[in-house]
Amino acid sequence: VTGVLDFLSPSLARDADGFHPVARSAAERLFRAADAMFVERDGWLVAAAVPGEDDHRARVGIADLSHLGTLDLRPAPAADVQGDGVTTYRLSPRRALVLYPQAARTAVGEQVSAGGLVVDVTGAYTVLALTGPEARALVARLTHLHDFPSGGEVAHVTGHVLSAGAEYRILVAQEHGHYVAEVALDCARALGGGLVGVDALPREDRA
Amino acid sequence: MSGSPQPNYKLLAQAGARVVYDGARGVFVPTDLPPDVEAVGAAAGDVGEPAVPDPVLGYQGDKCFVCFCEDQTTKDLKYAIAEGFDSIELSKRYTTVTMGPCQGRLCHVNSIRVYAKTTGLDENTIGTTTARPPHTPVTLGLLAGRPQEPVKRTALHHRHEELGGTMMWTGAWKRPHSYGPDPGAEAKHVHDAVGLIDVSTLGKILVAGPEAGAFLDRVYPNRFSDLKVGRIRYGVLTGDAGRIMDDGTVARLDDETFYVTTTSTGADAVYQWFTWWNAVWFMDVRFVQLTGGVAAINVAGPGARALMTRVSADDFSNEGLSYLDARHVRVAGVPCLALRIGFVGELGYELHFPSPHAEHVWDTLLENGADLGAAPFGLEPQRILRLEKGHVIVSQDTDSESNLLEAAMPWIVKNDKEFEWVGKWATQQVADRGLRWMLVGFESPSGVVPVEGAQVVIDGVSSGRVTSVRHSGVLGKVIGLAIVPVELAVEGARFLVQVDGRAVAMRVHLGPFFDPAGERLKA
Repeated sequence: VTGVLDFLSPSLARDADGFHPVARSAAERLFRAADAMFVERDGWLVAAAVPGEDDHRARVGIADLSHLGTLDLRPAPAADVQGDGVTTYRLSPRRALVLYPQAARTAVGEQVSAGGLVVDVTGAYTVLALTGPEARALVARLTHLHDFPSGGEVAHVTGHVLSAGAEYRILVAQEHGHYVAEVALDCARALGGGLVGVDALPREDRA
Repeated sequence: MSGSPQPNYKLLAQAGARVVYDGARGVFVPTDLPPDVEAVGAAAGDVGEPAVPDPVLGYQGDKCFVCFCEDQTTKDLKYAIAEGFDSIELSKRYTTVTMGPCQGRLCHVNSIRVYAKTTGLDENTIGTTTARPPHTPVTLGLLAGRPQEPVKRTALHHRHEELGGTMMWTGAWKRPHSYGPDPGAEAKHVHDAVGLIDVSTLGKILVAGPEAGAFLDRVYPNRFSDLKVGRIRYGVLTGDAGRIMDDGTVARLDDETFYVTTTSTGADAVYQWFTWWNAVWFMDVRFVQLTGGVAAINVAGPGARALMTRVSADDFSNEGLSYLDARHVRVAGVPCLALRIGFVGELGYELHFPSPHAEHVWDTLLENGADLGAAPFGLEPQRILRLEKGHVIVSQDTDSESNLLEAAMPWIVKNDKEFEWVGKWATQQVADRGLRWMLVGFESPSGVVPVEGAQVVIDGVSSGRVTSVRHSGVLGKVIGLAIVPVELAVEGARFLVQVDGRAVAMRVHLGPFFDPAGERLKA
């Protein structure tokens, strides 16, 4: 390990000395309690499917996308970072988060490596995807935010809400991940929804 | 209208106490307290000298307000009596007096005295309204909303529960108090074998940029610009007034990058403090809040090195990773920043790594250290261990008045820096006026354990307080920290502490109680 910030990057863990590291999301236990089926992908334990997810998705489904890579860029890039499934979220004129599927890590790295401070904050966020016709209603029950993307109070903690068509993504601090997922699930159940696996998301939203 | 300060007896009344009017003082006081309930101070009726003029029911025809919240005057109350609402309970419902935001704190006695004077009855006959919960206003959302109580959980939270940890609130975090009925035994195990504690709640801030070192020199009383790459230094932050606000370690990762740790509850405040000051100074430095994204485990005890060599190919010897070194290592396949520090006083490695790998690293350490006796220890054992070393916990052993000099940390003040640091002027003022207090260690020769917060008493006058106290199994005695008059900051000096109504002698001890030369943590 050579880079001074490597200890921040989950993606730099690898099999070594007989050990096999697997990354886990803060929301994992909720999915485990729902009998989710987990698969190992790109070094993460991912909740791929959840019993009853078709019914949930018909109302509102919550999937865990915490395995997405997340970079904190300062200054924010002049142009959005490009790539399949890559999202550039501008927190301010001088700061941006880039969310990307692990498959796009190299391509994203090449675009952001020139100058500035680039910090891997993947482990710092829990990312929840809200999908289904009641997704907007669920967002409304969690936050006063209504113009997306934007940051503010989500379930009484600081968070960010991004929209992608009819889908929404909620980013909250890792330490609040279990709590916010719990609150979101409670609200989703009142709307007839529940947890869904990543594979239940539309293909373009799985990243 | 005006009247005397009233005892805040409502919680006592809710608990079943009777309330009677003391006509001599013009106040209602609680009597006949329920079993196991004790009232002291103002709640018991000690509200100082009363000023109890008879209520004036209007002066020269002007309005005379009884209840400011609900806009009720003496005239309104007299109308209520005239209309038959002649009991104070009925009057409350009719006029809404006492039902406003102050909940009777300003108007309760006023209204009773108006009733007494108007009806010709005495105040005890009028009586008080019934005290009911809630004691203070509570939002409907809290009572009827969906349960949303934000909790910060470390990435190891569920592991702690599975291991039998008793979880407790520490600020916004949930942390394991201990993993069994005997925290003292957990502490001793760290001295004897090897212990693991989840310290992920520590604040972690990346300070990066060409002027990062110069920035830290300005916000801390000591110097960081001369810290060598790969080394760690302790730091204490003070406010403008020189009061201690937080502490932690600073590791230099390269020329322009520092990794700052803070107390668990101070992470956000320190981050804001840094950004606020840099909005003034415009230095070329950036801050990244890393707290939740980075898990941290302290592996401590005489078996710590043996354990680390089983889970890492990196060099954990004293030569490879000396005391106060920071090194990049790989543990169980996970990239880590290893900090060789010793808050608990034993050979220890604080491993910082991505939170998503926390369970993997934790499990690996426990599994591979099983025959070494590797076991988790909680917050309470940690408090015993750090107290044995005399290490301070900011906000436990310091308060809003504590400064560096009177907290026994003059060595951290480096006034030879070429520019001002935050708190320098105020710290100098303390030095100029002379020290009055000092944070000292103490032992309890009698073995009596005072409560934390117990008063130090000199000639019957409160003269300081106990800030921390525990029984140390390894030392076989009760030890603590206390703020005492500076004259007592002498090895062996004695002072009295109030314990259950009697004065108990304590003996001052300066320096660490355990391993004073630091041989164990530097082993």
